[in-house]
Amino acid sequence: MIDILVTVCVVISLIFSILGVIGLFRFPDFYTRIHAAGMVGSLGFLFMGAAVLIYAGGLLLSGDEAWLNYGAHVVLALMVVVITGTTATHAIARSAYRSGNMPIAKIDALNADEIKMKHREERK
Amino acid sequence: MDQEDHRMNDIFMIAAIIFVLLIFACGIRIWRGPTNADRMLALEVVNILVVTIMITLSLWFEQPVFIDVAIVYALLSFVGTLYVAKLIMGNLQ
Repeated sequence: MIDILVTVCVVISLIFSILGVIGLFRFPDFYTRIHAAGMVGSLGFLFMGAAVLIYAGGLLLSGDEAWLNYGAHVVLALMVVVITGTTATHAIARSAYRSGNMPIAKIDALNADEIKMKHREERK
Repeated sequence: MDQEDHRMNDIFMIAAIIFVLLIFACGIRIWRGPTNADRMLALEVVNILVVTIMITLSLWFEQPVFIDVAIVYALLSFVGTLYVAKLIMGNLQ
């Protein structure tokens, strides 16, 4: 049971990390690459931590008390990386926007809506 | 029991090797990033992957000290990322 849970968590983590790095290459824009990088930082990392925690919990249940200390350290590392990773991504995005890094596709929402409304009125 | 433990640990070693290959892939993005913000974003992905590898290998080597190293590495890379963000924005005195 624990083996299956650990394997599933590791495979999900690997899938999210590989997809995030592929997206870091394939996306055309900085602001879309942030989306791919956030996948590695959130789900790829958290599922790996969950796999390590489940495996350490299995060893703890089998009678070794030293793995409780280990699990506490893993939880602390997860909290630190979740807090600092999101803040660092936000800081990079803010500095890129302030330094004039514009998105590649600028869509004026109001203009798009006006065109839609015009088509809708022509159909009537 | 002991043999079963080593068989389960193999999954973590394979995952660590794949994460190292992903770090090399991020290095290519750092090398030919169009802007400096792209390079810094790829470097932040590399930092998170390094912390993940440290946690994974701490289970492989059964040493809890690696996780303390990972926590300190995450905090120091966070400070470095904030400084480079200020440098990109142009506010660094």
